[in-house]
Amino acid sequence: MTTIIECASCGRLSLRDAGPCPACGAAKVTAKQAADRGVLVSWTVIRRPPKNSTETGPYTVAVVRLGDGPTVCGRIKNAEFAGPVGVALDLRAIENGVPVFEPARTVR
Amino acid sequence: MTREVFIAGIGSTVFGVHKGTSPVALASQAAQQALAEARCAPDQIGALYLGNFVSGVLNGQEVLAGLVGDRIGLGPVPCTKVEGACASGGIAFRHAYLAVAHGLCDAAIAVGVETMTHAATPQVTSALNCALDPGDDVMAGLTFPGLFGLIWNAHAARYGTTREQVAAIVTKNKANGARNPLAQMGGQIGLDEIVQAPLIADPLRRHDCSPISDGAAAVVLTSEALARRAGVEPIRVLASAQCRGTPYVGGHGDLTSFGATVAAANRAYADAGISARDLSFVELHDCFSIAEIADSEDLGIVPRGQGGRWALEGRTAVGGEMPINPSGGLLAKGHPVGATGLGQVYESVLQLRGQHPNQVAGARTAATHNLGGTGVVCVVNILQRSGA
Ligand SMILES: [Zn+2]
Repeated sequence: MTTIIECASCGRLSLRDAGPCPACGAAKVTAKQAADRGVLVSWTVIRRPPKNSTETGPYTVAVVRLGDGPTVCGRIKNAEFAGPVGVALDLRAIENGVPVFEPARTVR
Repeated sequence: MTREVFIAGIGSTVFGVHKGTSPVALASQAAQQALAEARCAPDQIGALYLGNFVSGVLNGQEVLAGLVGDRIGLGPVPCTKVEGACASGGIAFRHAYLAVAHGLCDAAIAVGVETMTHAATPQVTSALNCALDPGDDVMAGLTFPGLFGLIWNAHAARYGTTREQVAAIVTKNKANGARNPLAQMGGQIGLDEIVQAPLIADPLRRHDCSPISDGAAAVVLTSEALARRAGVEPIRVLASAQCRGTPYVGGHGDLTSFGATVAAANRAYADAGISARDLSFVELHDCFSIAEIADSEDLGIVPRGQGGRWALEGRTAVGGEMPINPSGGLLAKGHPVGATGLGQVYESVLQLRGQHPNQVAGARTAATHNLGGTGVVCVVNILQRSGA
């Protein structure tokens, strides 16, 4: 399991263990539990990052549904991931506020 | 109670590269053309609404609405800028429609403008990213091509949509663009050339993305009495609907569909008293090739999951059963974001008058579809020949 926060102000569920809410900046959040294994909803490899990015790309952005909990936008560790949609992913870390996933290695 | 509203005049610059021309000059050019068509003196206009998205970021220039109102000689009437990312032009149209429909004035003008080509691509990507939700999406490094890469992979996984089907949209819209003198680009492009171009955000490649554009478009909306005095055939506005959708990617219950489009389309069809089957053609928001597939299904003009197949079978070409983007769409005509929604109205009015260079035979009723941000706002308008 992992900790998620529910914002008391805007209601957004975000995958991190403490506030502030990344969507609206409110400090008041409630910690909850969510699965740390999810299903890949979709993915893309970003090859042209925006100007204000410190990265040059490529990197993989993924949308992941955590158990029966929230759907979150994060990264897959493999910079040039190639799917498929529907694979099981494990949450490996939260780096600078961004959830980082890897394909699940073992069946639990 | 509301009254009927008509489009009495339209104007547009070429969409493309207008280096060295200010957004105020471009917008004024389109607005003056629309006023002339409508035979409307500037002092007859009771309100101006201007759609623009990134002039502040890319040009360091704001208050465009008042600057354009001054340049075209309006009286001391309200001149208001509206912003809803790539749907800014559609929102401006709807506000001008509401002002006339509710009797606030007898004539209003909607103007859309954007100048972007002077900026480098990463700078434009950053400016457009202002339309992302500030939470997870930005932090994860998402971009707008990236959003549509996500939609493509989700659509392919659910419906089996293929690279060849998505490429058919690019081929069709670039061919349509070649027939439109206002289009930024156009021509023959096949699958081989499309799949050899560099990847932007997998699986999107260069030609799957609309170009960076400058341009402006304008529409004069009036009461029936004023429309009868115009120099052109008035076009009736049957409906103008605007709906909000979720602002962040994780909020989309289904990544193959935009809830804001479905809601705005349903509202527009109900207000107009028509169904999707009654449309002669549609100008929709193909900011990326895969977007045309999702949009066409959300608008109910193509069965769910079959947007790609219909394109490949030629059913959405001019001459097909539901022509989509006979103008070339955003992919070929160009996407000066604040002007796009009004450019769609411009193209549709020419079709409904029977005067479009890429004419849909017998065009009677049209829809325009303008989507903003990650689906946070959508405007759908229904237009009809007034003689129809
Ligand atoms: Zn919040």
